[in-house]
Amino acid sequence: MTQDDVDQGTAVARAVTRVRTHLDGLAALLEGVREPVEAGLAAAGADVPALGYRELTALLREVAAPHCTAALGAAPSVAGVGCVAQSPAEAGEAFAMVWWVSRNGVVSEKRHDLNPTSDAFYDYRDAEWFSVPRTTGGFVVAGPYIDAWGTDDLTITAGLPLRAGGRAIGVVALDVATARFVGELTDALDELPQDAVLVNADGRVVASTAPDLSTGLRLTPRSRAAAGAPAGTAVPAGARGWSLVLLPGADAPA
Amino acid sequence: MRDVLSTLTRDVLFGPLDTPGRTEAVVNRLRTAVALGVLADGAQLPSEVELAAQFNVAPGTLREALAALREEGIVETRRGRGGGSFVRVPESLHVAHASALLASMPPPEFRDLSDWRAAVAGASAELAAERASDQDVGHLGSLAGSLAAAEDEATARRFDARFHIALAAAAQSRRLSTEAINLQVTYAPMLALVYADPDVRREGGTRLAEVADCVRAGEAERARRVVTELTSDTARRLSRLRSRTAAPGTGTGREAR
Repeated sequence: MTQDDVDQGTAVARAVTRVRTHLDGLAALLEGVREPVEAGLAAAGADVPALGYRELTALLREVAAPHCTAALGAAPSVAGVGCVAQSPAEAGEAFAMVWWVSRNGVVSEKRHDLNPTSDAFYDYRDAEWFSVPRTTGGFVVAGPYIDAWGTDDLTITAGLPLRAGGRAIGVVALDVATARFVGELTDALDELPQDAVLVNADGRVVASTAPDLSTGLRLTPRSRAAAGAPAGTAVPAGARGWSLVLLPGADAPA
Repeated sequence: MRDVLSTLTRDVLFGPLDTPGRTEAVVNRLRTAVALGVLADGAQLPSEVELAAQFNVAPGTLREALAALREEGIVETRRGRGGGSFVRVPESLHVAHASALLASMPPPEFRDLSDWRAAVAGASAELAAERASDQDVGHLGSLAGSLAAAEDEATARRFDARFHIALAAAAQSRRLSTEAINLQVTYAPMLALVYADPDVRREGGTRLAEVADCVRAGEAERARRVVTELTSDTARRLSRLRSRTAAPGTGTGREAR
């Protein structure tokens, strides 16, 4: 092993640590919302899993508003925070979602269209940020993806399961301010000696220092899937299925 | 905290009109909102003052529009306490609205909007074939299947529009998906006319399933071609229906051009 290899190994470890720190920051932020929301639901004295979606929405809005708006005010790399639950009493067809967004420092509540017979219905049931925490019981970072009827923009969403009355009822979730968050991750890759790409579990680019691989693209386009991934070394970057791919550069050591 | 922010679809539907003072444009917007289910059956309309301000029209224009919608049976106004204007969804709404929308559009405008829809769908298909995830592809396939199996024109139109929006989202393009949502408001309501025929629903579903297959296989050019051919055929069918139904005196144009 040459000195160059050792230096590169250190640089990679440092970049991975910085990425992990950002992800842990999102998890901590969500935890900071979840804890008081769960406590507030418990203190409300209602049998939460038995509530219909109207009552559940009203209760969630009342309990979550101060904590979600506080989280938005405290973290500039977060664009939206909220709670999303499915009333177990009306399984499948009724939705309770309360959401707050920050635009230019102004916090507002955002209403989504949750009527399943509307053409603008925001159907998040199969969205990774909603379904994964419900099946795994753990933290997820989903995206980047285009969030149609939600942010209507390129979005990265983190989610954590929400429990009430001893049952999983939904998730607390946040949208990062994509440009800013991606910028921070890109800074973490900038110190590496060659082009590097941070990809999610689907092989989609989250952040990159390679000029032709911007956020949202696939590392391997579908048309070239048969040819396999481009040459490069992949290193796990956090426990969320993300990896850091180091691309062989023109001036990289052979 | 500021007031409540709403969805892009609502912003498009209730945004200011660029041709102020036209009753027909207000009627079309509100009828579209009802046809799309954004204003649900039984929902109360915002106050006249609020709506007039949102559309940027004179209160008189808005009152005329509401009167026309009352005549069509889409709005019901109750007086007194708990009164106001409420939404009603008549059975014939979707086809009637599609005809009215189509008739209100001069042929060059209809052609231009159809061209735009083909451009958005074609570019989306081509990019999606490179960029879609496997989950996106599965979602596209299931929307195409739902269109083929749809039992009425409104359901078919809904799945068609959702397919186009999902295609644009799979292309990872904010601008294309915003345009696809705009077209859901400006163009998709007219699809109820072609999808009144179950054979056309099945054929549409089959062809969109082929688009999803092309996306899965990473065949960008073919994905673009198949979706563009479908949008062109739809536009052709709609123009024929337009020339057949737009006999003098039967148009809904309250303000002749």
